[in-house]
Amino acid sequence: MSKLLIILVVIIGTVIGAAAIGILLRHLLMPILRGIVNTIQFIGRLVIELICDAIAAIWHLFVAVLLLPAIIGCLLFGRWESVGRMVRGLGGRFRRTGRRVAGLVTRPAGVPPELRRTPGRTLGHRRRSGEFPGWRLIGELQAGGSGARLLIAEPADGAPDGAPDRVVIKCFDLSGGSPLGQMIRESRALDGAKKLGLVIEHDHDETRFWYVMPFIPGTHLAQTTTAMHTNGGQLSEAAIARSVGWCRDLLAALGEYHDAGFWHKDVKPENIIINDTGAHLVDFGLVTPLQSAMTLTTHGTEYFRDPELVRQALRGSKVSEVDGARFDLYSAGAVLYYIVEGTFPAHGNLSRFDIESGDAIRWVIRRAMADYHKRYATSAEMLADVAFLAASRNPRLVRPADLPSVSSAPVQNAASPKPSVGDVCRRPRIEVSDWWSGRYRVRDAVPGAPRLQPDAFEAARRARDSRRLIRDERRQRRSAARRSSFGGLAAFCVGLLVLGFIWVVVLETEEVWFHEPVAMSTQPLPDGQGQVLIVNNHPRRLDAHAAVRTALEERGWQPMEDVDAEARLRRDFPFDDGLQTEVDEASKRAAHAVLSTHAFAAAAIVQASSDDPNAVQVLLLTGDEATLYDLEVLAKAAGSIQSTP
Amino acid sequence: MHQLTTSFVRRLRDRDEAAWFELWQVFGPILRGQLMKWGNGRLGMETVRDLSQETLAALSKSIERFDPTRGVRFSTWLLAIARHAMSDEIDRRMALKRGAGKRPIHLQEDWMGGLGNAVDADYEQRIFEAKVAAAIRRAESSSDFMSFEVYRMRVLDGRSGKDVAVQLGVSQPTISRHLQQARGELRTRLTEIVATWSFTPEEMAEAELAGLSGDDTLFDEALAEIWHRAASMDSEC
Repeated sequence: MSKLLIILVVIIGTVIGAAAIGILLRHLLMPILRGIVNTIQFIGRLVIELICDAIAAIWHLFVAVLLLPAIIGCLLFGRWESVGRMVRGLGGRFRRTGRRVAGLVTRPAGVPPELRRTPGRTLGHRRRSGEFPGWRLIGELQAGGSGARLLIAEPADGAPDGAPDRVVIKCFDLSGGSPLGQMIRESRALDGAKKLGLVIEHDHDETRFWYVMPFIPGTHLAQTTTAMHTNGGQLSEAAIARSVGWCRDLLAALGEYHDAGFWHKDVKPENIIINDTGAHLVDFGLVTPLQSAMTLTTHGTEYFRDPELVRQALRGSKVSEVDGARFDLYSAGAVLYYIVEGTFPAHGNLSRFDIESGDAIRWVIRRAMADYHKRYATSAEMLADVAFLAASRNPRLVRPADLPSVSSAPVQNAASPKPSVGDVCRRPRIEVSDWWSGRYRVRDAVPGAPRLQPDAFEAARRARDSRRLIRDERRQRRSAARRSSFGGLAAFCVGLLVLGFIWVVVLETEEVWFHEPVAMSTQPLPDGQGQVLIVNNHPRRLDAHAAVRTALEERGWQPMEDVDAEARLRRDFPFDDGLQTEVDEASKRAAHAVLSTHAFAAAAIVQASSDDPNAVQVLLLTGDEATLYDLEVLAKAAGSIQSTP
Repeated sequence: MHQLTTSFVRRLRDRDEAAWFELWQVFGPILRGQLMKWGNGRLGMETVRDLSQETLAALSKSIERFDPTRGVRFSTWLLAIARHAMSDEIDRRMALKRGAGKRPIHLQEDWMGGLGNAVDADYEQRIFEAKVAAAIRRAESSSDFMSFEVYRMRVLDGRSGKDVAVQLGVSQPTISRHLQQARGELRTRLTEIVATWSFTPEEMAEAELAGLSGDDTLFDEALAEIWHRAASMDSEC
């Protein structure tokens, strides 16, 4: 019974002990280790960045020096314009050098990687806050054609609840030259954008008007497409599949706009951001209600804007008299053409295809860019075709006959189910959801339009949501795996090297600065190994020389005196105060080198004791070893040896 | 002179913006190509676009003076206006650069004066191809989508009837029917466009000389050839 109890106690104790160790490892040691690794990585990154800055600073200085003779030469020849250009260039070099040197001293916190990849410039360490209440500026994007500045910011004190980590502030400034007409137009579009949830907040003061949107990191489609077509040849299957996927995302976004009763009006590659979650439609500066009573304008981008829109605008048609959603679909077709062909559709629907993308994709493009009455009636219809292509294993092999819009209903029957251009549409039915604020929702966004295909939209939305989830999971995984990534490993190695270097330097310094004390031996002298150089360094006891010689001879050494060797030893070995109780490794090596050169096995340095200036000590240097002997002890030892028969 | 021609000129004089837009669509690319050619690769795309717009603005000012009954080609007249627009631009640039130590850009020799009033064969050929392209565009707009796609795949892309039938999931007789419809529409639109944009008997006869008045096979062959030539020239520009 007692044995069982003991076994039970041992088992429970083992389990508790193991659990305690596990908890200790998990909650105490792991954070400490992680902290150490992070610190080493930080040091590594810092060193790498500093080295880069130093190299850049040196390079800029080098170029500046190279430019100087050229400037002088141009001055001599009277080429003032060239001189001015070079001086401006030189000024730029110096500014850059100054920034680099400043960076060497004050290394700013790392700019977020997604911000680095975004075209534009970052404010770096010049982060500003207060310019826009509730937001701290961290960067700036390339401005578009609207005359507004696009600033990247992060939430600060006073930011609205639930604000994303990073936002874009589009700011129109009258004093900065922003056109008033554009400001008014965008402020009109703001209402629609807020309904679509694309604007977080907006504000204005005497000269400025700005609004805040979520920041979507990534590159715009024009850049991505250019990169995709760099080799100039045919596109791979993966590239085609990616292109179709982006078009599907674009159509899903357009569907949301159209459902809410708006059209984007400026769908073009520069307004589509591509990242690992797909394609995102941005810039709603021209967003217009489908049933607006305003006159249609020709705003938009050439080659991506439907020529029919221009014709209708020139005729003075109202927005409500046309179906703006179809103009968006034309642009979506043009964008798909741009992706697969790598160039804009110069001849509209008659543009030639040079890249082998498959009949079905061409069919979709031509159907989207077809005449106003013959193109897809709704974004849902086009989305169904594109989603079908995206779901297929190889979009190139899909026949036009397999597309949902062709197989389910003949194209000629599906054409123009909507009121024709020029016919006045009836106003949409609206339902007021909040009488106090005046909020309403459009019940019938496009009067007379066929019912949307909810399945396709739902599928696209579900796909988007799942992609968002996957993106979040990836982010978490990345943040967890960042330490084990190559960059982290490299930074870790560099940090380790730096620490190792510091360690070696400290050790070396210790070796140089702190001499090892020479051990005092109570043993008799070692047996003779050959010639020994005697150096008398005792200022008071000249008689000690003979005593030491005797002691050495008795142990089998051959005491010798050599002026040259003594002089070199005095030069290389420290003899400053005549008292040598601490010898460093370098001095030992130097002494050994001198003795080897003059064929001495050892050197016996006669010197005074640190305690008693009249006492005599012998510092015996043999090879790399130094030993201190007391002359009295040596004498006694010699006596005992003599007394021994 | 065809009634369509005179009515179109009247629309232009009446400042009908749709007519001007149509003119821009038909002649704009040719004009840009010609300006690029004169520029000898030294003019940027933006400059060419500005110059073509200035040409159109000058044309709108002087359209009152254009008399279609005098037998002058509209395209030749347009070319003369473009030449003057180019001349003004060069003068302006020279004035800007004078004293700046920069050499003026070198343009193709025949950009001014060399041509006189003679007809540039290459330019006129492109004008004719632009008219055919406009007819195709108009036919594409007015005909049934499926019919035109069948015609495009079968004739312009040179696919076999069987292949087109398989791709579109229809029978070959259906393909033939669509082809007939699209071809009929194309013939109508071509006649219309040629009548609208032809000011001389030579221009009226251009379509016939190009083989566009023959039977169906000849018509298809001629149209496809002109279409491909125009597309390749556009891509070169």
